[in-house]
Amino acid sequence: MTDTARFKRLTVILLLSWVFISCAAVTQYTLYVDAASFFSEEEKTLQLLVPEGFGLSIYLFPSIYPDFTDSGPDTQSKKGLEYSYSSLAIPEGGELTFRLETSMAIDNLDTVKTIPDSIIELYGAPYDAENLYQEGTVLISIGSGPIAPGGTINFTLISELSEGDAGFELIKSGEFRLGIHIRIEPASLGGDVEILYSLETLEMELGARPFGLLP
Amino acid sequence: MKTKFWFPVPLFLLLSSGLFAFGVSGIGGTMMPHPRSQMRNPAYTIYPETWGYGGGVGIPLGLLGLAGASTSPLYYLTDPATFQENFDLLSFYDQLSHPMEFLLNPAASPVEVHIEVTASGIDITDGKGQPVYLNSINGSSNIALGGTALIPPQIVRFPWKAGPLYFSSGIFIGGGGHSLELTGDLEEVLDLESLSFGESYSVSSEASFMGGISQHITLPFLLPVPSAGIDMYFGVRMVLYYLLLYGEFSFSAGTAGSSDGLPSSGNLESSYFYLYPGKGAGGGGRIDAGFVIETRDLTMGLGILNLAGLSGMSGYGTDDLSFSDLDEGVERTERFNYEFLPVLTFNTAYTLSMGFGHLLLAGDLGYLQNVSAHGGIGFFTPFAFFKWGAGWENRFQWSSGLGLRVKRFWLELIVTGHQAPFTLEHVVGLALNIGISDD
Repeated sequence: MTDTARFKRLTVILLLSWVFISCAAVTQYTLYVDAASFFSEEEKTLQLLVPEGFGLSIYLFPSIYPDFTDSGPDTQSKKGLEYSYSSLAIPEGGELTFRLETSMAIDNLDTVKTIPDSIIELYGAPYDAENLYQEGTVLISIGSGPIAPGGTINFTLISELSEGDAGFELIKSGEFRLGIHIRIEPASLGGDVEILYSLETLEMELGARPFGLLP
Repeated sequence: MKTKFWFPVPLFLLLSSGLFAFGVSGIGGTMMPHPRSQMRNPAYTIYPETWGYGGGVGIPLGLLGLAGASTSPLYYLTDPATFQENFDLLSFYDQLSHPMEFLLNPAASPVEVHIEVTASGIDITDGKGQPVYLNSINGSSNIALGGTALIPPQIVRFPWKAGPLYFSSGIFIGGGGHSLELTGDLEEVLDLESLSFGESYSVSSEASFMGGISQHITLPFLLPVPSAGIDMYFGVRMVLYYLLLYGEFSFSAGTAGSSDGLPSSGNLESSYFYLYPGKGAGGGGRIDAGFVIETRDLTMGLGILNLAGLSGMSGYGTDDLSFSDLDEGVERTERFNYEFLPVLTFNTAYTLSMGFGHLLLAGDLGYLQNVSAHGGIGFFTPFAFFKWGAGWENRFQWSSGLGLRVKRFWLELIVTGHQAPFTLEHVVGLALNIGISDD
């Protein structure tokens, strides 16, 4: 399965998010996407080199794109993952919620050098953004302390957005792009460091009660 | 003694006026060789009546069912808070589609609709993990179809006769069908076929209901047959109607392929259209015909509804539904339909005499958008009868009737069951038919 095919498939499927099956105020609609399942096992576990001087950036969506030269995301990664349910402007009281959860591990395979700092950022941008990492905003970010030689660090990033949160307007607009940027700083003692990057879970959930709002 | 004398009189008048329509068949929707089957085959209009095969009148208990908090849209006007909290369009629709039955547990919208997307596919389930049913179902009595001249049967009727013509004036109300479908193309895309340029892929869901008054004018006659022991009936009917109430909702989510094979931006189209007194009206007519041939113990019939039909409506609607302001973009809309959409029904019944009673085996096969089939069995005596039947109208249904004769009255209590739209939960209903025997 090529990245493009996978991208297509995921994008199309996201459009199914508003299938109206029933119309009662109590009905909660949930779209759950297990995005990690769209990546192969080989892609989810990558042995990568963090180059001296540059560090390493990994861009998630539509595929996993590692950037060793600090030159930024490639053309596809700039677009990220598109969500579109545009014609349905969620009205007040629709109880729209968005949740993204991802967990990953970074193993420092080097026996001497320490990785000083790593950070994961979730970006959101308007649908027409050319480069979501430049034009978008950071919805949430978490960082880790140093990863000791031979050590492992586990990240779990959870982003929950509901009415009133920063970034909620983006979700509410019905068309937006998402991307995840993982930044691993170059080793403190100089020289390249080999790491094992593992994506463990990546799931997204979008919920709404579209009929809770009949006038 | 006075009460004993007075009680049956108004009931007798009510029943003999034939004011209420034919009840639920009590045999799983199976068509019987009986005048009540004239809805699907006008040749049955003058067919001799047999008690228990149908007969009597049905009490539209479904109208009681429409008074509940989850099923009554009237709360919208009288008690908006109750409406907001309890109204369930699916319950309302389900009860409306079964006007002769009181549904004990009308279909309820799932508490949650869970759409799960993984690399291996897409699952739409309710909150309890039950898959949601993707399909389309015809409206009331399996003959109604929203937006066409195929209106639901009359639930209250006043039959009369003039010369060779049989008239039936009445009120109809019922569901006009619903559907929830993935287009075939989309299923392919989910199986990782690539998108084609300019083609659109969608999931759609729609439902409609209608009500009004209708007039049936039937010309049935017995064909002269040379050989004894065979009877042939023929009937042609004109149905004219005036639409007082119509509602239609439709939603579709989809995307179009672009030249590079990637999906272009998606869209969600949602529309509604309605009319009610003071806000538009509609009307139309259609021609039905039917034929029945009968030997001593075997009957066969073929009915064709909507050989030709016209339907016109003028109401209000929008093609771009905004949930924040339901009145936004709503404009006066005219609709006209004259497509060729016949409903075919073939039915057969076999009677077997057994001492003090007789056994009936009946079955039918119909077509409107989808194939439907029913079959049932009944045992009849002069004082009681029992019958059971089941049918398939793109989902399962069954019913069972127990009839008892008390002096000149026939009472038939019917228990029905059908699978709820979308959720397939088992909905149980009760129906009551009452009749008066001539002897």
